[in-house]
Amino acid sequence: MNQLQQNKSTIIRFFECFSNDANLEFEENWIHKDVQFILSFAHVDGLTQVRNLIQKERSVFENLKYTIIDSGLVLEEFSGAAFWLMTGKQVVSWNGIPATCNEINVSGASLFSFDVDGKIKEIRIQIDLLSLMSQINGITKLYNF
Amino acid sequence: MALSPVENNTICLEFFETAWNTGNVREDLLATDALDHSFVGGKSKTEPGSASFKGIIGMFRHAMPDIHLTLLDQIFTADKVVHRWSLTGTDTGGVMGMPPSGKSLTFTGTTTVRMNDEGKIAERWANVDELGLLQQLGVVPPPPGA
Repeated sequence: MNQLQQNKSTIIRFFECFSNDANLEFEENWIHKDVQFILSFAHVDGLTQVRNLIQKERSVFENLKYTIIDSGLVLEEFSGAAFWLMTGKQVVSWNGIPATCNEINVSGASLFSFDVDGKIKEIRIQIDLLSLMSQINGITKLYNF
Repeated sequence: MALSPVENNTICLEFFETAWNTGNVREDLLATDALDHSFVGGKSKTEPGSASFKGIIGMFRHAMPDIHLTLLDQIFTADKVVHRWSLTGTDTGGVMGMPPSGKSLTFTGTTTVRMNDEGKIAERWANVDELGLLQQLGVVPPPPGA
């Protein structure tokens, strides 16, 4: 397996961790223990915290799934981008927003950086948070735009 | 013959930096059958041509005449180019039809482009932190308990 194939496999493996029934015991041969997980509203530092975040997300959203869209992977030797659709049902309170039992369908992109050993060292996430918040009644617009 | 990934990226850099930083949308770098799949500012369907992108550029440059694009990450391979970026400017003209806030605003996004074999931009997708922008403008309050 060449480096690009390995990066693709690692990215797919990472997204599979979000499925509710997936094994969350990360093997440190594909994700760095000091991995950085960076969203516009949060910065998660280290593998333990990333695992906690995934566990929390899985508990909030039933049947959580990230589906990489067709042709949604762009790969280089030390970086990669994945474009995805996140689906699930919000069954637990999230960021102070009570459970709605609403089905969600949100698009986003993740940019991965790999170290020289092919381990994920950084993930930057761009999620359509406005759409997510709208779908779970989490925002009130104060102005019509 | 298709251009190299580096050449494709150079064209995308020229296209987006010129568009955002000067307002000039380089039609010569767009394919005649280009498609815009980005759903920004309430847009909800794919549109052909340059009109929708020009509309977005025009709206933001009117709202923030000093708007500036900064590239944060570039990933490119084969016919695809991905840019992570930030836009910064002062809201003196009103974003999305809202009254001018006078605030300095920064928001981030990711743009993906598919290039055709002639080295033209054939398709464009964008993910933009619109919620972050609206929260800076104060038109969307933080969620309860946040």
